[in-house]
Amino acid sequence: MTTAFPSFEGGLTLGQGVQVTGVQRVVDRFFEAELLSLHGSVGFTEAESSALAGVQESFPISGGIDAALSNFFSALSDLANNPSGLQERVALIGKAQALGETLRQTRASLTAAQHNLDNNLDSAAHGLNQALSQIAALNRQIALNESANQPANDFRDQRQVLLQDVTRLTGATTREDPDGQVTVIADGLLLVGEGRAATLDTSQLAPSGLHMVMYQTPDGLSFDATTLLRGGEIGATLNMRDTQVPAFTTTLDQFAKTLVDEVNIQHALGFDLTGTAGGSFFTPIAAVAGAAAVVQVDPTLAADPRLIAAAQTSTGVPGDNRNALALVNLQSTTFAALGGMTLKDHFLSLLGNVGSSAQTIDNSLNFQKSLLAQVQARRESVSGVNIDEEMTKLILFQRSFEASSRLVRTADDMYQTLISMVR
Amino acid sequence: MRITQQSITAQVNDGLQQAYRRVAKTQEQVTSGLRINHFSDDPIGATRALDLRSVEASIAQYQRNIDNTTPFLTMTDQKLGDVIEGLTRAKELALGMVNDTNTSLERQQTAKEIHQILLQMVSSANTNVDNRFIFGGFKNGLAPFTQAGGVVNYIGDNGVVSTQIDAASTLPANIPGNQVFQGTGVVGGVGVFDVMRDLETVLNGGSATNTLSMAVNLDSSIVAGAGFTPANAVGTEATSATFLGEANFTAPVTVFDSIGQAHNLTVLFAKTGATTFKYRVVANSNEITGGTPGDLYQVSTEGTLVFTAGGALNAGASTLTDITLNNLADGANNITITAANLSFAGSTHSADPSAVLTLAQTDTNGFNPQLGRIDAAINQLDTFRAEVGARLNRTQLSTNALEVFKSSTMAQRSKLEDADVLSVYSDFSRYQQALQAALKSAAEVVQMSLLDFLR
Repeated sequence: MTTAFPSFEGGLTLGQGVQVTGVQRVVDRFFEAELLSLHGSVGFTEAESSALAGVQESFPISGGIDAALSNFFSALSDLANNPSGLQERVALIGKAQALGETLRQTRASLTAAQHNLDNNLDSAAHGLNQALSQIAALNRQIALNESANQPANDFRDQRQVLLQDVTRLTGATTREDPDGQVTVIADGLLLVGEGRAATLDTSQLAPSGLHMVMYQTPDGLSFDATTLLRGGEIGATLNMRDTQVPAFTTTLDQFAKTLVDEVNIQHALGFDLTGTAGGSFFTPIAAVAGAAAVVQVDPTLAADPRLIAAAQTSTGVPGDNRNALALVNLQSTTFAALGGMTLKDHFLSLLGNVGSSAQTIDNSLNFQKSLLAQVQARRESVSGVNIDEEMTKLILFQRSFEASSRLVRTADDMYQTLISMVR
Repeated sequence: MRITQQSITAQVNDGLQQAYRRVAKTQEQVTSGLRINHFSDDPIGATRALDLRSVEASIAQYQRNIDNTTPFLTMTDQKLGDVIEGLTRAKELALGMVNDTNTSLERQQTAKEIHQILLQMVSSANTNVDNRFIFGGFKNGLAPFTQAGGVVNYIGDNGVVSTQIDAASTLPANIPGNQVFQGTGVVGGVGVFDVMRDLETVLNGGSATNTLSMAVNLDSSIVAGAGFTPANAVGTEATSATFLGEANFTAPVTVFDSIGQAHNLTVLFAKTGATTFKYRVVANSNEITGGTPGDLYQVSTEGTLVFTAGGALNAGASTLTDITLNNLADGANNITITAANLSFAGSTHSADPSAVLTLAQTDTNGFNPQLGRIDAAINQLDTFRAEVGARLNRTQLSTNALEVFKSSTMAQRSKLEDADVLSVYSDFSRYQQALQAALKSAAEVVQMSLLDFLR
């Protein structure tokens, strides 16, 4: 609003009130930029936090792999106590099957978490593409309006909301050009340039069975950006899907492979109840990758419990329990394949990793959220509206209008008096 | 700073969220009774608690191992006691028969009783617990002692079944029957059943038989190969009515192989019967080194004689002459290990410890020597019984230690894992009050507007 040009009447300067020159957005550019970058990091942390919560669910606080493992070794100890006992042998096979089952379930649940992330990626990319094309359209509209000196406040507000979405998804940075258009760049990839938007295509599958993220420029140039995107929700999802969850899975696989290998090696050194050298206890596993998904008791052995090799020599059958004791000792043996740890410690360190990753992410999420709330509050104090404040202003303006009308009425009264004097 | 309706709403929402989260968290702790409900609540505490839980599981397992072993040891102790009782009874009976005034009929009746005691002892030695024979070693699926006409044979083995009773130590759960009842591997070992059988024979007017078995063995540096088999260790000693049990070994003997390397000659003896055997080695003077001629090697107990490698008198000799173990008492029943059997091609030689030959002698001295052997047998069983007692004692001590360890581990885990009920409850009611206050104030603040007052 600007003060209207006063009129001069009889040597007096009379105010003409104010004129509305235009409606402007009240924004603090610093807070807006700060808010956008915070949306990026909150998006990243939130995605990681929810993914880790999913991973954590694969490892129950009690009754998980650690319990199955100690049950298995307990059953082996029972076998050592009575190597000729058939019940002990049947019980051991049961516990070994339960251990295999638990490992397979945990592995499956980690894979499910990974595929869940993959699906999230798909919908995130879809949402991003929509937002990017709308931003490009708004860019064109804003440039058109403002070049014609038409305010484009509503378009800018719309674009601001979309930009928040885009930064939350990608952690992108934005820059406004002099003509009012914004350029959006994420991890070196141009997402929006003037009136044109790039797209992310997740329709193609990589050999691993997971989606590839193809970056397509407005001109149709296309390349694989799966490893390039690091920020925001999409970056976090990719990081969890391709790095963190596979790391947990590999650790679990290493655990399973070592368990199967070491038990089989020791088992083959012994002799079963029929006096023949021990065969495989678990079905042998060739590679670390995917090992935890295929742990199972050897079917031949599962069908005939007498084939468990508890004796160290064929002549010691049936009372010799030395190989059973040697198998029990695997519990406290450290293995180079597990980084010099015992089976149990290796698994506990995996749990510790999952737990502390989740804890760290939750803590930083809390911190970022409170930061976001602060900045939002400050932005609100600049751009927001307090109804009471506006209401008092309204009353003020109402009163000044009343005062002005009183002036008019007084003048009217004076004219009335004057006219009636003439009559 | 301007406070707007938006910021009030955001703040109210934020505060309510926080209050709800705190209430939910403490509520979870109250219902589960656990301080840690997710690994992220306290990753270090959670893994430590899991670690402690597996320690508890192993403690329970050790306890189960001990519970499993105890009946075996208790039964072993009891059966050893039974056999000792039988031996004591046999000794009483034998002492009653010492006088020449006892008629041969009385002696034969006593012999029958001795036979019954022997059978009772064999059945004790064949005791099983839970279908496992306690004196069978690893071969515990079958009765370890067979008995036919008073001759008892052991078909078990030397296996010792051990069980883990804590993280660092194991406890042997059995004693092989051949050690207890036959004295195998025991210094001065006595065959318990042999004593009983000899006593029976003597009471029946017969003669007890003493046997000496001997294995000739070359030292361990000689690796297996051709040249020395049990069949090669042929002795000429045989049963002799004129055996007087008096023979001498002479000086230490060194055996050289074809490339002039010296080897120890080891003679292993196992014997039954009360007689002391004495032998000496007579060899070609080239093969005898060191020592004093006429040194006596006395075989009064089972054991090993080692003729140590000495100088190199015969270095380079390609062939050895015969080594004779000379029974000086009768001058006839010598054991000769022929040169052919001690000469080797190259440096690979057999060291077969089973090159055994057995000497048997008849003892006509009546049953007086058998009384001493009964005492020796009782001593032997007492020693084993003391050993079993010590093991039982160890299981008790371990049980106590495991109890203490278990309760301290559980206390530690509870501290990590379990919610402190008092403080969780007080937190819960505090957060609940805070939530109520927040809700109440929020309701009032959000409603308030100047509009309400402009009427």
